[in-house]
Amino acid sequence: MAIEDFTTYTEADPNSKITVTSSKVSWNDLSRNEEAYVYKAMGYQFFDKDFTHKFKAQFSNYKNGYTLRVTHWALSENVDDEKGWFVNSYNAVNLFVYNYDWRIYLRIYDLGSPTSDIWTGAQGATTYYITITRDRDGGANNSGRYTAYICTNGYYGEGGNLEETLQVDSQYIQPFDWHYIFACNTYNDGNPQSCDGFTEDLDLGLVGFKPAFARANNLIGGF
Amino acid sequence: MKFPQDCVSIADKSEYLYAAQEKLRLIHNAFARWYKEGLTQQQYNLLPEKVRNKYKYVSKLTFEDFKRFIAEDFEPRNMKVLDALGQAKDNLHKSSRFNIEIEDIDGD
Repeated sequence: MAIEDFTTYTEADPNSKITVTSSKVSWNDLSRNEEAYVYKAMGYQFFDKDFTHKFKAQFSNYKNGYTLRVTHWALSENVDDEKGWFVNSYNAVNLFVYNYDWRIYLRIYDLGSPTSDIWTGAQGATTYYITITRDRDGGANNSGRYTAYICTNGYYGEGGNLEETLQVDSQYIQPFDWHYIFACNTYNDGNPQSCDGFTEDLDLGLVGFKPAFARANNLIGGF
Repeated sequence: MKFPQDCVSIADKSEYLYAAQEKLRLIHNAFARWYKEGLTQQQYNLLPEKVRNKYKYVSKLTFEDFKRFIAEDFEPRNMKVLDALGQAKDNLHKSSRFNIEIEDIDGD
């Protein structure tokens, strides 16, 4: 297990709503009226295989209306907020919380076109242990299947209590290999709804992992 | 995916699949509890008979047996149910039973 060091990530936070420590990205009053995110450029087509990512997530204190929206985990080919992925026809996959009743979405944007699976049973102020797997060639179109196991009191496969499993398939004709990872992102559509929350202990399963560029160029030994 | 004989329409199959997914989730959580906290004989007796035939009673399940349950019993079934749910969703997307205009869809 290797936990990501968020102090090596890039923070875009025009209204100072986000706090970054080595293992935790937390936010207060993060709204749909700002473009704020914490991300890392991992390298071109870095995520080019099956993977398992794990992290803890919590959300609470909705304010200024009901339809808050914040991403806790995402992969994309572009640095942008979630609305930007949508309107600019970008590719991305994200897990976000929406609305005062804390609906959790697993969503993939294929050239901006969204496909989602939703859990409507989450509770605020609860720590969720989330495991996201990618089957790169899986799914209905053999272009990627993403599965999120949402647990309390531990991760899936480690004794956590399974609350819900979400799954989405890419609708595109071939898999996308991702460049950027996000530990927080907003959906800036000019609305005031906001909430508090955090993403913590993100584990990308990178122990012994060699990125695509390094493999192709035999920079660190290849496979 | 095998469905009961009286499970015919997409709506029937979706209902069956969601109920199956929930049944699997609850059995998973019983095993997670068995591994993390242990089960009494009484709690163990509430597990389905086929599961009890495979996993004999001990007060606390080993991590190896918990992983075995995940790999052999839970994950393959859960994936199959999720796959079938995805197919059911795709079929429902193609439904032409209702004549829907965008103005008819409640956006509030």
